[in-house]
Amino acid sequence: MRTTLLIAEPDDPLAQHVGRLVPRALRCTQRELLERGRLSLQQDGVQVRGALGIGTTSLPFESVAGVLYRPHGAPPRHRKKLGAFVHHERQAAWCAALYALPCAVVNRMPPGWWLDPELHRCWLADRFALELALPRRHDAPAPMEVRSAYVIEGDVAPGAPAWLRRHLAANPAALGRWQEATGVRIARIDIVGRTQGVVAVDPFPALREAAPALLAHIGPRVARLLA
Amino acid sequence: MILVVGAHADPVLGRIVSALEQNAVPLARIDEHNPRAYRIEYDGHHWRVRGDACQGCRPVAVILVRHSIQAATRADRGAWLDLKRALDTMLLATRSRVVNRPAVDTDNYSKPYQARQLAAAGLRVPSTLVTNIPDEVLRFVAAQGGRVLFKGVSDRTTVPQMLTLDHLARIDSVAGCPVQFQEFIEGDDYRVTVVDDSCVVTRGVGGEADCSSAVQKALPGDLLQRCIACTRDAGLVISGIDLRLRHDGTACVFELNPCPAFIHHETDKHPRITGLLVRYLMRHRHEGSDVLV
Repeated sequence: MRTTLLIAEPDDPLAQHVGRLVPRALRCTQRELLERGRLSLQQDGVQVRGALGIGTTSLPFESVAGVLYRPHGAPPRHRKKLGAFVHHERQAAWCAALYALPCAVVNRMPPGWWLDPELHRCWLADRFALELALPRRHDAPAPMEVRSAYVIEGDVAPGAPAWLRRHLAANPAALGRWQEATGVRIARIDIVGRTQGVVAVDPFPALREAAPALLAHIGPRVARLLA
Repeated sequence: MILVVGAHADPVLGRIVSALEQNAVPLARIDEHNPRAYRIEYDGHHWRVRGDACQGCRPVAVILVRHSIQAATRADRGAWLDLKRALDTMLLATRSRVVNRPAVDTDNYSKPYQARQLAAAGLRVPSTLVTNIPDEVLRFVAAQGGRVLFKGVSDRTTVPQMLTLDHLARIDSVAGCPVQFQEFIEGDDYRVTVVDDSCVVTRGVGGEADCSSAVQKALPGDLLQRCIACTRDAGLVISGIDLRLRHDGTACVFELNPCPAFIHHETDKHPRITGLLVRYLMRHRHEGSDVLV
């Protein structure tokens, strides 16, 4: 039986939910992955093979059913250059390994995210606005003006503004194009309702205070992707 | 108007700026070695750069970026990072042409990731193992007949080295940090510098670049076209592609550098790459813009 790898903090609600729904799960945090995980990635431009190791478990690529990647831990601070270098190298290696996995990875993030998450979020929001022909907001609107919508695998979760649901229904391929171009399968989109301007995109929404109905909608869909 | 972003002291930028000035092209500069001098504002329609000689009123059609990471002190570095953050946000969002736009120039942060992109573009890449498992290294070395190079995985500068018995005696140390191991390829080193739909070929000889015109014809045309195509497909205008030409005529690509220090691959007398880049910038200098300096 193949294993679903859940890379998330122990209290991550989506990882907890998905962990209960998939047949076999293996959990670790991003920090454990980077500092103690084992990886082997061999490629020649035609074939790719490899294996991941977490704790005492080793998983050849073909035995990984899917990966839920939800990095939320604080990034380590390195006082010494060597520590920063090793962290940089580990990230570059795991970025390539997770990207190379033949299974579903939610979300499958390119080097830009690992290098500069904040700038990558800007890029995701720019691309979302461009693909869906929506205005882009670069200022910080008042929190009460901002509405959030959760997109998952070409669809919008319940609770999204009605106009956004209509807009996506009128442009059915646009969200899919954005997801294909960015590797993002699940994200929270923050939008100013009045002007329909895209404020931000978070590819790793915390969901800690999300309504149970939202988690109940997203969780099974993610589990189906990863099982 | 062309905007040049980077450090005044960068010799690559210096050469481009001299060439633009010789052509009397209207030019503005942001000197990243003086990060506190600038501020960037967005009013909902336009990005305005103010400070130094920038007054936030002249439209910019093309922006050339070569970020500088040299900062004298920690405080300077903080100011530089703040400026870089503001600049990159603007450079991502602007309708102006950017050479090269941030976020699309990050693939070489992870060399094995980039190798996949290069292979997908139809370029041959070497057989590579990235691992922190000592036994995997031994298996790879045996499969390669013992001739293996090793180097870093990320964009941090590391010097590729041939793996020796001395290294193998300490191979357990890879458990602390993943390393990239690559098949050794016999042949001659070349750099293909792509600028838009043109390229310049140079050959590496003992650490120096042979920029002679004869070298231009050393690589097959379809290989050069693939180099141009993969640069364009990556969303880049300029790139430096390092490859090795085997004696059987096939080429193996090692990496694509999105910010090449190309002055080492042209001569003062014949600055061909600078010429291509300056012509590209001048060709687009009248396009529409939402950046004002």
